[in-house]
Amino acid sequence: MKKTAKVQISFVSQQTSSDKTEKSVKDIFRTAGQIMFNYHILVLKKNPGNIKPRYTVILAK
Amino acid sequence: MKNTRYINEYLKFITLLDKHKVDYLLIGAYATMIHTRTPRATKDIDTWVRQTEKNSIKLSKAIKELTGREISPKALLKKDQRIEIKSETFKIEIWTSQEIITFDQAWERRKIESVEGTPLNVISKEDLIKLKKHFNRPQDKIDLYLLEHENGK
Repeated sequence: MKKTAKVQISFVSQQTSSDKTEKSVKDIFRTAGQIMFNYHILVLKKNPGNIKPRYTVILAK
Repeated sequence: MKNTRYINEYLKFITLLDKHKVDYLLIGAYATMIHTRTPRATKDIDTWVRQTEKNSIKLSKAIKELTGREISPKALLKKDQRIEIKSETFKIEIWTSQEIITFDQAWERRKIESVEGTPLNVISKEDLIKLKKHFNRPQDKIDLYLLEHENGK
């Protein structure tokens, strides 16, 4: 007997995002950090991992 | 290649604010990202602190522990004072006032989140929308769309 695979086709509104994964606050920090990390690597050609943080504190208005 | 620098420095700062019991609210891009659950590029993290003598003492201790730099609590009490903590790869901005909402009002309505067991005080979505509408810069308009359309849905 032949087996047939079931295929389901749904019509969805383009207004609905396909991303249903709920992100935690840590995911948000990690992903936003990764975006800026990639910006440094790919655009500025600098590896932030190799830069020691030297803080400057500025009082501004 | 994975990032650790940004998340570490920003979370270290939040942890220090909590350790020193500073009354603060997360505002700006990170608050938008948390409310919309949509990460985006941003050059800094913005916080808003209660501008009282007691809170300024606590804040100067947190800044000292993070940066090693001594900042007079009195300097933090000046009208509309803003503090920038910068390094080559990241920036922390600390605001002491916002034009259209008082800290007390925003504090009452804040949303408390948690990250790695540390409570995170986030400005409420309604107050963030008010600020975005008030400043109305190009990025604010994009953020407003996400905030008002529940993550664009």
